[in-house]
Amino acid sequence: MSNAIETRHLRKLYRRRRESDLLALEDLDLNVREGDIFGFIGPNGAGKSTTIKILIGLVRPTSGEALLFGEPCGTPAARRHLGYLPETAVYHEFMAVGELLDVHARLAGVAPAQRKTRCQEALEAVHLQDRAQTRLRELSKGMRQRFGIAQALIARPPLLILDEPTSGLDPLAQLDVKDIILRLKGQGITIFFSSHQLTDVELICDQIGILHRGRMLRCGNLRELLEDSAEVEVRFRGGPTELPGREILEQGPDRAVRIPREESDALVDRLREAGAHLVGMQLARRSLEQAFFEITRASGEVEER
Amino acid sequence: MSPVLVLARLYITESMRRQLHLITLFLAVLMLVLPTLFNAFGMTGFDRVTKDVGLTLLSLYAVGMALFLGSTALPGDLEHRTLHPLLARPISRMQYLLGKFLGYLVVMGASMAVLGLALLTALAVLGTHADPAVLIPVALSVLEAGVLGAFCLFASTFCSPALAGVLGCFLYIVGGIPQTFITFFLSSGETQVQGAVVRAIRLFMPHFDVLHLKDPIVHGEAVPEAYLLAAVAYGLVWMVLFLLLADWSFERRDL
Repeated sequence: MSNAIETRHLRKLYRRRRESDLLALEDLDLNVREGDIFGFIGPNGAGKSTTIKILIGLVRPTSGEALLFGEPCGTPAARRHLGYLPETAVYHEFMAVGELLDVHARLAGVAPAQRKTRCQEALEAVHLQDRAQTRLRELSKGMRQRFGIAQALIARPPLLILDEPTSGLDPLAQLDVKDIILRLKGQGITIFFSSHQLTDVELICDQIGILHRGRMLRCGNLRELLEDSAEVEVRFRGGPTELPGREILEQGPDRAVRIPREESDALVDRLREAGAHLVGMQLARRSLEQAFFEITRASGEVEER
Repeated sequence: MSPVLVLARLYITESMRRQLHLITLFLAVLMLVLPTLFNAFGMTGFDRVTKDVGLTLLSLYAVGMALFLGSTALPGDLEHRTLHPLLARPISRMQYLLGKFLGYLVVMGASMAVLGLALLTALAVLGTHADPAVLIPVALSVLEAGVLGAFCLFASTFCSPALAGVLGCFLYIVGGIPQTFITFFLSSGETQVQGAVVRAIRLFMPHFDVLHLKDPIVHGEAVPEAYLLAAVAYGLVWMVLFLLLADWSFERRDL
């Protein structure tokens, strides 16, 4: 499978006149396979939006290379392959939904004969087909976000880049957007999106990249990220009901305790001596949120907020 | 339709729907036709005054709109982030700038045409022969607005809209000083250094006075066709130059 997005040693340094320079990205290597949903997570200021802007061509990298389907980012040829939903998208509010979509279709180079059908299809994909005549300023935030996805879809691009698509939306609108993303993945579209909603990322992404202070701390699929745990969970039956400094969780007839990997042998010996029957032992399953905090803490760079 | 035309149409549609421009235009038309009411007092030579004041008003309108629209068009799109989804399309930044500028020129041209017709109507109501030559300074005001708008667009690619407007004002005021006045100023005992500075500043800015033909038209003087063509070519060269500078600066900017 080939890559939809590739970056090599990408670096971005913002030169600032009154403050010290800001290193937004450092040595970023990224490979997003065609057909995958790639979740890009990291705290504010991590460099997610800068990466996305480089991919779109709105920002030029200081050094390194970024390619979309083999084309250098920022060129019209590369932009032919993508649809883009900006963060906190604002559109020409005096235009009607159908009108602005038509403008995007024209700019995307959709053939005149197909333009009307494409606009209709894009609006149906985001359930806005009844709003074609409504002006954008009259839409709710959730609807505007769905319009944003419709305009991104207008040229049937093989790659969608979504900058925090569920940011600021109510739970129902978030669910709508997630459904749309999953449906698009079903159509074989590669989706690259940044988000602070770690549960969403955990649910829908094939690959996840964790970015912090411009550096990619970890990148891989969910299993790789979550199983790389520093803890193991030991389940046992009978034996002690208390362990000093450890919390014992009741799991039906069994009990479970989480301990650092290197302490597992000693604990097992102790449990056996106390008459416990060992039921099982596995790497502790973490949520993406836990993994995210552990990974960023381990990098020694988590800021006190 | 090419991306430039699509973007120009978007600019025009938005400009019309925002209504700010239409209201300004309405007020300007009102000011042009007001003199027809005052003529009830029967002042002699009032038609010439109307022509003079009307053309001055038109010129001021064009300059004001050029400063405002030229310096806010791009920063407005940047501030509202309406620019990002458009530039994510397979178009170049130059096409984006040209689309915006073409839209601006069409809006400005149409507004000035309306104002020109209002002036002719006012003159006709006053019983004067509505000389179509009045439209010559009107057309040159559009060209002047084009040059000034292109400069403000260029300035707004690297500074705030307010500063772009101030720079535009400076360009218009210094560039509009008549050459005869400069010559007189330089020959009246100034040092060589001062003279060189003034000449250098003037060298790198358009001489708007070349486009100011109000006075000869008001006084019924004929303007040679060759001069008109040269003036138009002069204005177009500066406009293209500023647009190229705008593209050069905008291409380098992180958005």
